[in-house]
Amino acid sequence: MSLADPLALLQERFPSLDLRRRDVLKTLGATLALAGLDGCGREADETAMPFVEDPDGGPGAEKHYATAVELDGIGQPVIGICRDGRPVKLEGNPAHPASLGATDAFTQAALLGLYDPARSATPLRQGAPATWGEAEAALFQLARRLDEAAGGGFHLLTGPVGSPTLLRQIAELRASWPAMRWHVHAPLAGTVPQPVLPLDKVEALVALDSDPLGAGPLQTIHARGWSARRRAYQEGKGDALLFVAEPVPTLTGVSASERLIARHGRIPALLAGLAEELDGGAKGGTFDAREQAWLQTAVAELRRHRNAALILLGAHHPPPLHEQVAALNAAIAAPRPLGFAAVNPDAEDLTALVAAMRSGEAQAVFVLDSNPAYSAPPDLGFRQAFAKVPLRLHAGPHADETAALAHWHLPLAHPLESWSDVRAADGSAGIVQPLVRPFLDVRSRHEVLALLAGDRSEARALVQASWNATDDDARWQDALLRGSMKSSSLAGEGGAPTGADLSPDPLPHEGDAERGLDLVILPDPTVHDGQFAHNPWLQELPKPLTKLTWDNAIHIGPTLAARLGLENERRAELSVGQARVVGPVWIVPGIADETVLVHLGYGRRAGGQVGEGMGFDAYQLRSSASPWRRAGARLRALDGSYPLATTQPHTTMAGHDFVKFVGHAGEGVPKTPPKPNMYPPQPRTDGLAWGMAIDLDVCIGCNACVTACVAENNIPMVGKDQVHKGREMHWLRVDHYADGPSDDPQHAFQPVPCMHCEDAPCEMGCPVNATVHSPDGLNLQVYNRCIGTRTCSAYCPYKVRRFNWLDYTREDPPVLRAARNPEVTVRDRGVMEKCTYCIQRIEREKIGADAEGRPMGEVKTACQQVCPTNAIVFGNLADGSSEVSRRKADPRDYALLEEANTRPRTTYFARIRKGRKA
Amino acid sequence: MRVVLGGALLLVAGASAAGAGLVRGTFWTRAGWVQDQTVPFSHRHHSGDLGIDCRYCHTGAETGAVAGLPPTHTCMTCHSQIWTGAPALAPVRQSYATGKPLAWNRVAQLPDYVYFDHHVHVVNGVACVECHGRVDEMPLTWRAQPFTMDFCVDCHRHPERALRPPSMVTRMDWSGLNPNLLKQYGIRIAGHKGLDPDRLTNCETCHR
Repeated sequence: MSLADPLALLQERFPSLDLRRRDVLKTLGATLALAGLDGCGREADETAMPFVEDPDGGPGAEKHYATAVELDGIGQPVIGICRDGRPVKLEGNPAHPASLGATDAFTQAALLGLYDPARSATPLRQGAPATWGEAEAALFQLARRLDEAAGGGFHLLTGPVGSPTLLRQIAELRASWPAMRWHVHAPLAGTVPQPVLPLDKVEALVALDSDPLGAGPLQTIHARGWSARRRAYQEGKGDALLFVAEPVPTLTGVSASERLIARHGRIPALLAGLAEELDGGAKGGTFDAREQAWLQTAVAELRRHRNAALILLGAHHPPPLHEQVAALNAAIAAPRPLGFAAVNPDAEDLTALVAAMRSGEAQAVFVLDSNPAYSAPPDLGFRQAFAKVPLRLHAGPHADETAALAHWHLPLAHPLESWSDVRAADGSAGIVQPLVRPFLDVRSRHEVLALLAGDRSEARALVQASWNATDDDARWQDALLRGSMKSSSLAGEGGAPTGADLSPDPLPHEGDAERGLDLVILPDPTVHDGQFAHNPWLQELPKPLTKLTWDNAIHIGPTLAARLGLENERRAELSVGQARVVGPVWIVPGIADETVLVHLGYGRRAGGQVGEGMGFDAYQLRSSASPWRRAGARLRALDGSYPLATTQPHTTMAGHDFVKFVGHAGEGVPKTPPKPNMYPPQPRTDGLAWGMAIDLDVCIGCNACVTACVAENNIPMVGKDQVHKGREMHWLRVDHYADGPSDDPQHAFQPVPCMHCEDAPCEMGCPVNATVHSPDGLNLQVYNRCIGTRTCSAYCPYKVRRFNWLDYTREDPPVLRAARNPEVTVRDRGVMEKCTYCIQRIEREKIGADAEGRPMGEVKTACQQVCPTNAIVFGNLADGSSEVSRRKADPRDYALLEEANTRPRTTYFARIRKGRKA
Repeated sequence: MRVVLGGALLLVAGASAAGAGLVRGTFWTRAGWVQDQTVPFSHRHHSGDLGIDCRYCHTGAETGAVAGLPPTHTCMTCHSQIWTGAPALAPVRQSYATGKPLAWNRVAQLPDYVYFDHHVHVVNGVACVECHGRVDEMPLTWRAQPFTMDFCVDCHRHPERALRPPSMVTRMDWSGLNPNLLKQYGIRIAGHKGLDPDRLTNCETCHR
């Protein structure tokens, strides 16, 4: 290859181009001719269409509604922000005790779910579009038949139900049709109800294969409590100890002060060891040195913190072990749970439904907002049994795998466009009110269920009936304003466990490679049980511990990888019993020996183009007897590799100290004196200097901030191929490091937004002054000046700048455009963008202050607002009394890459290794 | 050869000048170009002759980021009583009956990367006429000023020139007042409100 042959060179570099000499010359000519004209043009005519009747508050006014979205039957209280009738952002409800203003990543992304172009928009009969009139006729006909048979042969299948109205409707249906049966399919439920824990009161927490801080409906409330405890410890009030024993790293595990890597089979032994040591009895178990050390410290701390200590066991462990834990907790006077996550004790499970379908007893099955054809354990044979039922109805937001098998599919409304009610994690009930009228031909789940009962009521009336309320009712109006009902908290009692009766797995013998591997199955940290597989914000959200996007993978530890000769992205076959899946391998440090980890939620076969065909379906590996852990799995390397898109290919700090550590609370990081530099002094405004402080000690890597940033700042999703090329657009990333011995590393998270350096290298680099400094300390990016040289990004030591390589937004369907925040520019191809410290929020406050002639008040960035652990705080550094100034006085405060001497306005607090006073 | 080179240079220079002229010219900026409308609404009649206050229709002018065009309902508050059968108003009646919005051709338009907040200008006393011109003399509305960055920044550099008592912002004709007095007022009020050109000309004031 020589330069003498440019065509051949081009052909080699860009194999997809079909190059002929003439075409090249023509293209060159056209490029030259058009070069000067690009970006110029008389602005296009624009049509202005005012409302026929103005909405309250006038055009452009922002309106806030207290409502909730539901995850696994548990309400996530939010304030929905609407502009011109369009919901544009969800924020946690600060007045709600279960949220205090925070949400998790799923709740943030629920907004995009509303605008999902793949949502089901019309009823389907045998897969063909039908009208609601026809659907109503079919439902009424069914109802008449059921009236005669007293409901005999009718089965209702739902997901976990937390909505009081839905529970009331089901109870009324069952009262009128005593022979009908109700089943709950909860693919993510354990063998015991999940307790809602008062983690703020727990000074010593021992979690055995349990992940209270992990992604799920209770993450926000648990993270709130845990971080409150941790912050109290930082301030010298008590301890915040976390002991975790687990086979695979979880968010709880990597936040632990003492993490013990234990194979699944060792958990009962460790529990027995805890029991013995707490009783002070004989030591019957045999433990290795690490286990012994972990047990001794854990027990000593549990004893020391009587009344403020708690032992947790993963909900998937068999009930006898849970009884043992309950006895131990009683012995150490552990704080009682606040309540239990939605349980439906009077419902039967999916197994009973399948048996009824097999036997022919089931004449009509109505699947309401559940997708068992995808998420049922394969050994249950749901699909085959369901196909035998004479009348199969499905109602859900997507035409999913179950809809494909049903005679009727009825499209359900999104929670943000329908009336409902929920119970939040703290047990309090709240009203779900619509932020917008449905723009598709959909109905709420309450309306659909009411139709079955022959009732054509609207959802609002149905919800009001449950609460005995009318529109003018003070209590109802108060509930709509506050987002929760007064005096509606549940007593802390839970129902009987749902789910199959499990027998404990046989304990594996250490080092017995012949027996096979332990298989750990977990819900996916970003697409959960698969219900978010069609949500690009969540698909492209890097998974906390692997930073993978758009795929799941077979995760193993480095030791096992070395033994089996596997490397990252190598295709492998994972089999257990009869089931097998093929997927790429991704090595995660900190997984127990002989253990394989896979995540559910991928390998969707229907429901939308975004999720279909991404990853492999780990549900295939489940069995109804043991859905979470399986022994005797085998992993075999296959030929070839499958590319995975990760946003962080390295996991170690390679000798640097990006994340700093201190031993105990009160310790500081060594300070270095300021170094001289040659930057000209920046202009400054008196009394205004924006800055941010991020406490790495409480960051649990949950990604809520990243999703909130995406929603607030119109950040485009670019797809797997582009992420693979390193072109992800997230303005805020959460770096994950696993340092130390590769089989038992120390994990740490570090959210990295723009540092807003006072002496910013990017500003020196920009040839067109598109990135400049504001006197209040913001590093600005002016899109309309940017010509896309990318020099700034090359100069940025933190690599927080993102370049629009392609046009990611212009082809968006109108429905997705409606989701955008009108306060933030939608960036075009060829410009650089980055975190602005949510400048639109700053400007709004500044404009408001200017207009009202008052000083500026507090501004919260989107990431700060959503953070369930209050790790991020933003504010005015010039005001000594502001939270951010107060926090930055902490001796743990340090600047990332201090040696670069950029004097960043975003600084970090070192992580504290231990959770007790020195 | 020299002639050819000189000619080429001239050509380039001429093209640049023509381009600059075009971009600054009124064809490009639309300043002074009347916008045709489906309903021939006359500001001269409504605002000038009848004296209807600007804020009767542009309700967001002092309260919101956008001044807003009136909803059809506002038109019909009067036109359900007067000129009820006028053919020119047929689209208005139709909009009200069908619930479909009237489609106006926008006169005051800014690029999408500019974030202009209407109310902060009005409550600080920038008179309507500064940007919108003598609307009370426009039979069909046109853009009175080139809404270029030049125009905006010029005022942000010299805010005192455009500041008037907020109670008088809708006044169209200021010719009868002592210009010196107005200037003095502007300087004082800009100082009092802390409208510092250094702050007002930061990029983030308009671009985000």
